[in-house]
Amino acid sequence: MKRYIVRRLLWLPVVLWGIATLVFFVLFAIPGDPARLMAGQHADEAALQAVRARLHLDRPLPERYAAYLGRLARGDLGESYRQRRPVSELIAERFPATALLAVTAVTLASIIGVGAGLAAAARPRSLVDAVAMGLALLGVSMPVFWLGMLLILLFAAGLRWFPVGGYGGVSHLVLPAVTLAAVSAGTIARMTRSSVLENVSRGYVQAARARGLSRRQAILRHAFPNALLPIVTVIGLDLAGLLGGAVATETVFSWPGLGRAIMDAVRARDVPVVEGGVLFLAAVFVVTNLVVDLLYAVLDPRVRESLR
Amino acid sequence: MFTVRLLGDPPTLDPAHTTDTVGGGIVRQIFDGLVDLDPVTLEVRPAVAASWVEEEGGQSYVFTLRDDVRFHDGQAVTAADVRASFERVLAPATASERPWSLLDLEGAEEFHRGAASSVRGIEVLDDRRIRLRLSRPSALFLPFLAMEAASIVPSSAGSDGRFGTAPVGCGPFRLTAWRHDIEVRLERFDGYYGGAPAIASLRFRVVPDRTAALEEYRRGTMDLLDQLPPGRLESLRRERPQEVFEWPILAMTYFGMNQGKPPFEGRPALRRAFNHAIDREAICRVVLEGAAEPIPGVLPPALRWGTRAPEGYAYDPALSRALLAEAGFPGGGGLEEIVLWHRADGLVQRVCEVVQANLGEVGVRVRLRSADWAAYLDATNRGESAFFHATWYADYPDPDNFLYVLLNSAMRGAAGNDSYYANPRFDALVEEARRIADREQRARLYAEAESLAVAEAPWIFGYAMRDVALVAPRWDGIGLPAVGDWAIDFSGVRQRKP
Repeated sequence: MKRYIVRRLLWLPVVLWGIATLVFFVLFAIPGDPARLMAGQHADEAALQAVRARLHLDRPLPERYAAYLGRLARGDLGESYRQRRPVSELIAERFPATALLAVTAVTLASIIGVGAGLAAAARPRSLVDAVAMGLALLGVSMPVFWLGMLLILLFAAGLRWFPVGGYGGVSHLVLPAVTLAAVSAGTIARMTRSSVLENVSRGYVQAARARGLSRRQAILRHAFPNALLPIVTVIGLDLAGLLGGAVATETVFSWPGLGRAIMDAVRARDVPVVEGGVLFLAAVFVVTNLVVDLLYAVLDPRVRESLR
Repeated sequence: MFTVRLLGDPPTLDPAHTTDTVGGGIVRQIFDGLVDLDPVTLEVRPAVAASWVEEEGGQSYVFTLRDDVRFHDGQAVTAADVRASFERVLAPATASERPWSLLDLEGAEEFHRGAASSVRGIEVLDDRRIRLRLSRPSALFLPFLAMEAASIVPSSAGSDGRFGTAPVGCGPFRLTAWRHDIEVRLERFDGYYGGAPAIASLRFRVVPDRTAALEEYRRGTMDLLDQLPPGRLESLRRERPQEVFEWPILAMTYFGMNQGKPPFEGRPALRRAFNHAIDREAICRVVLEGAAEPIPGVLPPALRWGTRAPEGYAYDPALSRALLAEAGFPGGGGLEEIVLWHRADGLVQRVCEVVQANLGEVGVRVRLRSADWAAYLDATNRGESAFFHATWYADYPDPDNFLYVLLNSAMRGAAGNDSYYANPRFDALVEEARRIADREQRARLYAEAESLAVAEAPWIFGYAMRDVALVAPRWDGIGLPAVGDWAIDFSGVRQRKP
């Protein structure tokens, strides 16, 4: 087990190097001059040259790439072009907001999604099943920015239960978390239902029923624990995805998350922020997935066995 | 507390590096310069400098500072600070984005190149007097001094990034907190030489989404709102007539036609045909909901310069078709599909769709090409785009900032003349107007230059922009600056008496 974890973590630098290289060259290839964006629409050549020199944009590409990798190897994510502050400082500022929103949304989505999925699986093709799966489909299909705006109009502008947007107490968290949870809950509910139903038809559940357990007991005690693996996968992927920033939701609700900060940096061609932000999120993604994989081992003795 | 909506987090609050309106609007509350502009008449008026005298026929100025100006840290503002501020902007180590506002100073170019240790043209006479000598007389130097880059900062301000997050100025408000991507908080500076502002604190809140921002305003959590969601202005005018403010600003939109590229190269008749094809009245009234007005030429009316307006191009599809035939493309035949570049923005796109439809009516096929701001600038600056939508917000209130920057042949390409217009007579007129001081004489030169450009039609001449802002009814004393709502001076804002 320990060796497995170490082996996975040893891959991390390789993955990060690949992503760092990809981001570096993509940002180089896309049109748009960072110095021009900073200096303004019709800045004069002298100002542009000064800005280019400060940002080392006047250096040859291989030299910039080498300097970039050297910097990363030392754990230095560089300095934002526009804000002239360390990128690590910017990430440390924004990531807590992103993590808070992602964890809240996924927790909410797991409770609702698993609950709805179980209820639907308990009585397939019943009214409960139809309603639960109908709502799940709605959740999966709705664009988040649209749902977000709808919630704002209803609960912030109309009923005034929550603030329109911003960052602060629990009240600011509710609407964006519900918006994101709606999408995740839909996926989780659908996965829970199908995974549980798949197990219900298996022999061991039938055997449990034969021993006199009710359908509900058989599902909760036998089918559900065995159905957990794919559900945990979906939850893990959702969490990893949301930790990567939910740009649309963060924009609609004025939430100061990392996703929005990276998006703004892309628009402004603030290259170090994009590079550092994407790298950081990639690392978060890899680690989250590792944790999910380790959860498999906890949940399933067969996986544990195979890791030895 | 007065809350203002911000579109995004300001990149910096260092006046030496501010080029955007988001940061610029806050910088203006924290900093003052030697002079500033009357928001409406745009005349240069005293600020930190109580007065000044011109010497050597406008080549040199001696400024006398007020004796009651203090920085937010309590230090008195002296002539040495003024010199340090200007040298900081020009210093190579600072790599300022706006050195050009001070490059007219004698010796500034050498200093900016790193070839001199000080700027020859800056001479501190005593604590309160400073002489600024230019390399040649310039009618633009005083307006340049009113720009953010020429703000007075303490001599102790370094050239690294720290000053941009912890700025110290001598303006009416001082920075108390900046939570990135959330808000910037300012408090009134009680020691302000112009009298402490009536409002105790000023909060700039980041709300990137336009519809969400409008809902914040409706709920009363926002006191000033600009950049309204498209399509809402008409209903807001009806619902809240007392709260909607609209005024002309120093900005205009045109459609550039690259003079060095087919099909526009050497074809004035074709370019005039394009001008007659566009229903600018409809664009302004319907698409922009009255937040713009057609102009016959280049200069927006907010400039208040009194130049004689050129004769423009009326919407006349029949005449357009005739000119098209004259240019050798009867009914648009023989003309390939033209790509119209525009920046990715819903409203801009709708405007361009009207242009596309209008040109389609006379037989010209147009395809729209949307690009994000960075990619758009790249395409227009390199002259890659033959046909493009462009909006220009003035940096300083002078016809020079439109005619010289956007159409003089020396500025071809990225420097401003992105339609690559070149006419020696036009160049001579706008260059002469740069050097003389007499305003009436300059106005005549600019009127002649503008008419010349209009006749040759390097652009489809478009419309002047109007700003629209919502101000909560409990507030009074909001001045409406002709440079744009981002430059609103909050020192005069006070609560309305019930």
